[in-house]
Amino acid sequence: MTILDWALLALYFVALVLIGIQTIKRIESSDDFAVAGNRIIWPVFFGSLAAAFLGGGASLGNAGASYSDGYVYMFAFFAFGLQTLLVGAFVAPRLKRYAGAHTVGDVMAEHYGPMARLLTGILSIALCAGILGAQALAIGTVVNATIDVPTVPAIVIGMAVVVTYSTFGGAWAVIQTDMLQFVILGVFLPLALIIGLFRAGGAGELVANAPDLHTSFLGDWTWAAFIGVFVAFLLGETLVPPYAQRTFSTPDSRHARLGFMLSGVFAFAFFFVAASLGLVALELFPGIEPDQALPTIVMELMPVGLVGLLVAALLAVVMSTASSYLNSIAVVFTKDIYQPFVNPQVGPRQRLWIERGLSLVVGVGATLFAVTVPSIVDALLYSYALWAPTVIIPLLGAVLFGIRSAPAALAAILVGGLVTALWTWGLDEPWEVTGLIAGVVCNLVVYTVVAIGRPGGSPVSPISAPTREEVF
Amino acid sequence: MLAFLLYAVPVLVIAVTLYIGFLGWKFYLDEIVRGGETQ
Repeated sequence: MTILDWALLALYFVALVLIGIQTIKRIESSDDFAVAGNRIIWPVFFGSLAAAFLGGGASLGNAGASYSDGYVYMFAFFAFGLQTLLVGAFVAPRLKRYAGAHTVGDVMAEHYGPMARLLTGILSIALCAGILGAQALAIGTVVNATIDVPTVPAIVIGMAVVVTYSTFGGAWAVIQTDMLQFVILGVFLPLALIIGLFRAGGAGELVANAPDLHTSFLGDWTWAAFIGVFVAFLLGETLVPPYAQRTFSTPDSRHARLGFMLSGVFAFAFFFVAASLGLVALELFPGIEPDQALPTIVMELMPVGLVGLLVAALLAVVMSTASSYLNSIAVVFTKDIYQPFVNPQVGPRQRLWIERGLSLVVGVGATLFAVTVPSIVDALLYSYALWAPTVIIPLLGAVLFGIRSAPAALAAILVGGLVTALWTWGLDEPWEVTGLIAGVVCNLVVYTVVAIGRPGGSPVSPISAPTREEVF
Repeated sequence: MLAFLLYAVPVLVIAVTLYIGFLGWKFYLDEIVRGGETQ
């Protein structure tokens, strides 16, 4: 890297810290810290949500998988865009009915009571902690693969910046830095593809030289493998805490629907760009490790100046995701566990400082674990597999149909979690059926049967009737 | 078709990103720099 590249990379970090400092003055209450005072309009919601869900998997992972398997992985990844579109159309607008809600647990508590809030809170924190730790590790991977800086100092510096702006500026800082990160990754990764295409002799040449399997729909995958990955992307990250929290931060259902749906459309295009970068790497650099596809393009093909900005783009992908999950851990713990179960009398000012303190402690803890005991991050990532088979069906039942059966939700969460764990780690996923699919099916069956048998109150509340504005 | 998409999609992504970034910048000025006083 040249001095210019280093200067541009440093400028990116300085800009993040400056945004964090500037947003401090907007944080006067817990509402500001958790949902930015519900003032996030649709373009900002769109950019922030896209930056949050476009993590290392969507960029580095997608390019690497395309390098080894072709576009089939991208087609499976499209399930995530489809899910985002559907949630944006039907679920996100209705979440805005829950006045004062900050977390998924708020919705679950409204329909199913305090125990459902507690279980959702625990699952949310485990999921967020795992993904936060994984992003911390990914900072080290990106820096090590591109500018050859040792992993530990890279993680410490990157996470220090994330923790600083997340702690002081809360959701305002996370969302505003997301916007900067969205612009960097949305401009420079596509630009890298265009430059890569010219270096490969043009798009026609690339398509002509690519192996047939790499440009076919299924590649050398079986349908069972494709469906398993497709369903995992369709359900795995549905309304995870940061996405729900972003939705609550919009002023009304129109902004929630528009921002959510547009980010889903954007996801399709971004996945195509990342996967195509993998094909460019295959054409120009055959024989490298697949996960080096994107870093190799950045370091070998980009001109002076762009290298620094593209390293910043790769870091932006990871850091925006990390800050989103860090903020969610603080908010979920305070709203779903501390306030209802430990100190119901906590005041708004005290709550704000607890959330800030938690951001700092969790951020420092995640950094320490990532550099000293990365196996703990691996263990926490198992919780990622438990989100969809436990929370999603009861959450959709609540939001879409107004179901208020606490026994149904609690039974479904427990059975879904147990079946997924047993299927995945006890039986080792027989018949190529993933634990996620087995868990979701059992979760749905138990939820439906118990809700019909023991409604536990009004099975369909007045809240279920959508307004015309929410639907269209 | 794929060759066309390989150019068209990244150009579209850059254009959309810049437009959304511009709207986000206006929002940043209104809400953060001016403290939301115009709302």
